[in-house]
Amino acid sequence: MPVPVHLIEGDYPKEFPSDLDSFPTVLDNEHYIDAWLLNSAFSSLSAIEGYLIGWRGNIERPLGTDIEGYNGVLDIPIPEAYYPAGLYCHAHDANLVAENIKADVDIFGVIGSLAGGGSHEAYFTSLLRANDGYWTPTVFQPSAGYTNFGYSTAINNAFLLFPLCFIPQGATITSATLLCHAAGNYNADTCNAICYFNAADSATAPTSVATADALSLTDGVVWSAIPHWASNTEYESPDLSSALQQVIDRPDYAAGSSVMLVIKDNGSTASAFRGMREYYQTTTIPPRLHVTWTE
Amino acid sequence: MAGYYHHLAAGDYIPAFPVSVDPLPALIQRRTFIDAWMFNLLFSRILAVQQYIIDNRTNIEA
Repeated sequence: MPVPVHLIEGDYPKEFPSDLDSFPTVLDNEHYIDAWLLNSAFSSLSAIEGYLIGWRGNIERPLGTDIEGYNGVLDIPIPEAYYPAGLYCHAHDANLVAENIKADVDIFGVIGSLAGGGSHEAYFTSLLRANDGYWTPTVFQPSAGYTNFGYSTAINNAFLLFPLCFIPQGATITSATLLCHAAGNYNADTCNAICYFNAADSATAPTSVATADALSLTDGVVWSAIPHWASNTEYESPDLSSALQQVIDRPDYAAGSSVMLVIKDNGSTASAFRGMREYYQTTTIPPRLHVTWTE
Repeated sequence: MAGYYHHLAAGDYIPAFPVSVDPLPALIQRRTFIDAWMFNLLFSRILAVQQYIIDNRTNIEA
């Protein structure tokens, strides 16, 4: 019969949770049953309990289910939960129906049935102060806080750049007008102007008298004998759709490009000019290009 | 009194974790011998739990 030996506690290190703990293999009649054997087991059990308690919040998370977003809301909040594979998160919009989508266009599996693509309306603004301004034969003024056209002490011509024009190439412009607020009281007669668009695939604002004078232009729309303007009152230009149409019809124009309205003096009487609030004016709204179109 | 002592059989306790809870012996004072296999079973069951946790740490700690 062999003489029992003592197992050495230090030979069995504790590694959990990064790795397994070490335990001896105890043999009847060969090893003494020492107290540390039970203590080692208790210590390991405590380490396991401590680990599980530390992560209890994760382990006991509620079981997640499919999630339905709110109508028309793009971002869908995901509540705290455990989500097993195979679940779905659904975004939906009650307007995503065939009759609201252009015929044969597939949007998330909904095939459109709208003949002709429907009519659209948008207001475009210049977005940056440098995108609108005016110039005389000798002075270029992109940030005066107002944009003039007509004749003050010299000829005044205005430019208004509208970035991010999302009208599709080839769309039919059914109306286009400039909406602007008077920068002051203008009571002098007779103010005459012609409105053009920059004949460019994607316009950029001029930076000098020379570049402004060199702008390529569409056909013009006459705006004659413009009535007096009262400060901060909103005014509307004549319909500019024929000029804007020439830009939208350009083969290399694309939705998202910039379009630029140019208003030139057309033989106004001395001192007969009109001034509009520029973008970033704090007391009123900026000039807006109001457009309706069909696709 | 020694005549009352008996050995429990290791073969009666087949590990089942993590599919099920392990069967474990219940020792009775002055009736059950303390055999080496009991320690070995205890140690192996601790290791099984630890191994299960380590294998699923990514999920548990996510």
